[in-house]
Amino acid sequence: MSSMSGSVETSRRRTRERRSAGYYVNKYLPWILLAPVLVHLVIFRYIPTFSAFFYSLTDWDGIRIRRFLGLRNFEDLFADYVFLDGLRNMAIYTSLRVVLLIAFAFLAAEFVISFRSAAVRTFWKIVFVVPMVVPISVTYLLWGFIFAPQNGMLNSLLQAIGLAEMARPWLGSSATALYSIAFVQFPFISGLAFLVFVSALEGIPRDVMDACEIEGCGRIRRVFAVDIPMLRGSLIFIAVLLVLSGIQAVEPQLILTKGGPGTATETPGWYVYRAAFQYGDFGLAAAAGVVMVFVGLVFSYYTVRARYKGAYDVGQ
Amino acid sequence: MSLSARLTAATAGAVLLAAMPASAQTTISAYVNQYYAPETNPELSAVTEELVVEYEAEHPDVDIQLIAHIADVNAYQAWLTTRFTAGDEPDIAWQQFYQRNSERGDNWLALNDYLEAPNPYAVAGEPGSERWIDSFFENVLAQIRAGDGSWYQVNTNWVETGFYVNEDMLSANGVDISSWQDWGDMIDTCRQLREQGIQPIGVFMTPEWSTYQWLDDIIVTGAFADVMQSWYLEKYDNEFLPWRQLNPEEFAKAVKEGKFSVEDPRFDTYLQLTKDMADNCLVEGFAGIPEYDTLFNMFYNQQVAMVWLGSWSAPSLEDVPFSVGSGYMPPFSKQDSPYAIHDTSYRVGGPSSSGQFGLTARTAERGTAEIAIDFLRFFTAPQNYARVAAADSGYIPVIEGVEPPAVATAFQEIAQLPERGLTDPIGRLNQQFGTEHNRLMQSFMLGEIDAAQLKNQYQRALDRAVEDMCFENEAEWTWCAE
Repeated sequence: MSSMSGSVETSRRRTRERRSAGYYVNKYLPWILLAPVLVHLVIFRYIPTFSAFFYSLTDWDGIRIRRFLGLRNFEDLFADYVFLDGLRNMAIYTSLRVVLLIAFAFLAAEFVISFRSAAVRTFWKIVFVVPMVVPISVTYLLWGFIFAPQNGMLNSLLQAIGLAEMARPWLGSSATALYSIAFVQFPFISGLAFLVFVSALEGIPRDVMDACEIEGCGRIRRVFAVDIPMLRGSLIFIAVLLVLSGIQAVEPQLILTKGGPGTATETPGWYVYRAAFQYGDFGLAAAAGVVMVFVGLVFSYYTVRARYKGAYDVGQ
Repeated sequence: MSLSARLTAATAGAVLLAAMPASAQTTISAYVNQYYAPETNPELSAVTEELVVEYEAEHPDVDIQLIAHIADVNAYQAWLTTRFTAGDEPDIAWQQFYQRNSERGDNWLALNDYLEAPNPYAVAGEPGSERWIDSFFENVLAQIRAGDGSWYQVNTNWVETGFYVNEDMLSANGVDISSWQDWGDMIDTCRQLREQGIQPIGVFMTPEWSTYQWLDDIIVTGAFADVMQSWYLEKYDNEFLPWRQLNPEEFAKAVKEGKFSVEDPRFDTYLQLTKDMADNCLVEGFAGIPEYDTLFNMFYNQQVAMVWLGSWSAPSLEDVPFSVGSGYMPPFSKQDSPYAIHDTSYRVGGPSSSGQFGLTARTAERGTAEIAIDFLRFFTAPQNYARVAAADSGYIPVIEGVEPPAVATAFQEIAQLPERGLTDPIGRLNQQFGTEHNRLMQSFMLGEIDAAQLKNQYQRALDRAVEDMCFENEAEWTWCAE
């Protein structure tokens, strides 16, 4: 009897051990698997970001620090008309890009989900997503040809359709350069935004659509009464991504304008690049980077707050 | 000992043997600019590789690692800066001499002592065999010398710039640029071409480096030529160069003492000449052309009658579908600029070229400086560099005893002109000033700001640059404190 109860006890203990091993695996495996990512993020994202706050207070030249400057880099930054013009340009460029990219991607998504055939929808999804594999630098180089002052594609097109008087050096004038680089990628069907919107629209419950139809919704009314409110989360998610990418943009300047003419296409991102890699003034670059981080954080905070304020999402 | 134990021991021994080098090798990393561009210039790269192989054969304990050319100069500067920041810069690296001379001296090794020593690879009795420095052209050495009196580089070649012209297009419109007597004639030709719907001169202009800067060098020299020699500092005087280019220190001192100022009437002449050129001669949209290759393509596609390019472009222009000629800026008459003193224009060329090599300071820390210098001496020995120069048409070698390739000889006449008094804006003071200069001039040339607005901001940019440079060079530039 006692040997029987002993073996039961042993069996229970082993089961507990097995359970507890499984328990610990379940508990710690995600940590173990995420650890390399965490280490990578800390080393390559968080440490540089937080160290930039420190370096922004110094005259770091990329190799050594000779003086602690306090807030002098920030004073220089906000006394520099180039940086201030850059902030203004960033606001204009980012606003235009956010509105245009969201509007066109949303419209495209609406058109695509209006097809009943799954095959046709898939076809259009592929059409809009394939351009995502083209490197952005190639896109900007291509648009350099489009905007070229002599026989550029845009000017040639205008001449061909009898609008020769509208032809101009699009990137060679302060009046048009910023709007021209904001126009790059026309008709602005961003693959990511398009996919997010299509997925969200496809996820709207059928009974909501049916209820709308019973209430006599037309197509346009449905977009405003159902689709946009239900896609609020997706719209804000894409808006945040686009704003952050707008704040950090340097490709148009690097490939097309170098920030000119004058300061027409200067942006804080380009300012950081030039200060660090051309002037070797990493302290000033860090200060500009800190301002960019601050702008991005403030915008993200208010956007995310708006996102949850009275929101109703698909699936809720 | 069991079989498995013996096998284990044998394997471990083999692994250890394989891991041990036959002899301790010293590795030298070298960024030799376009001399090693295997993808874009395999012929020239092959010559450089041959030299490396020959050197390594003579020095089996040395391994020369060539770093492939980075085509975009801004990308290269970003790469080099990142390497410096990481403490992982190559032993030998290329740098524009004026840019290096506007940096603090502690990233690069001063080569003075090495230059005074013999080059063991120079043929006995030939320049360089007693002192390495003798194998380099004196005017080049004078120009590349840093503000602290040191040489941080050896420069192996020279470039020139000038007009390439579409002779078919010009002759069809009755234009002959060889008849230009002065700047005014050039402006008249530009007007004539414009009236016929032809874009006269192709240059591009950005806030960074651009070909416009070469024209700016000529114009500013023409406007201030009569006073520039009075800005020379005695310590840089060179009996071989009664007229020479000012270095950043001399220009900074002239700014500090108000000798170069926006209040000077010469500055008004400079602005007037610049505006005349922008309004009449430069290709429409010059401020919207982002880079050199686009400009080259515009000339190739006959969208401009003339284009201002470098001697290095000559080989690429051999297959254009029209007759290509060459030319240069005419001199300034007293009518054009009352301050002009020469009856010629000014050459925009010099040692800011593909062969400008220095040793990074880290080389001394690594203990590889002697070997890196030895390789540079081998590379620049006339009999060796001649092989490279022969494969590098479009550049004019500046090592004694090395003949220029045929293409480059077309620029030898230009090379006789007096040199520009000031270098490109990005090299006049510091990089920040250069960018600011270009930005302001871009707005002025496009008519987006007037002369008064430009002057106001330009003087501030000058003063700020001089203040920064005085701080950077406070030990050497004693006049700053006066």
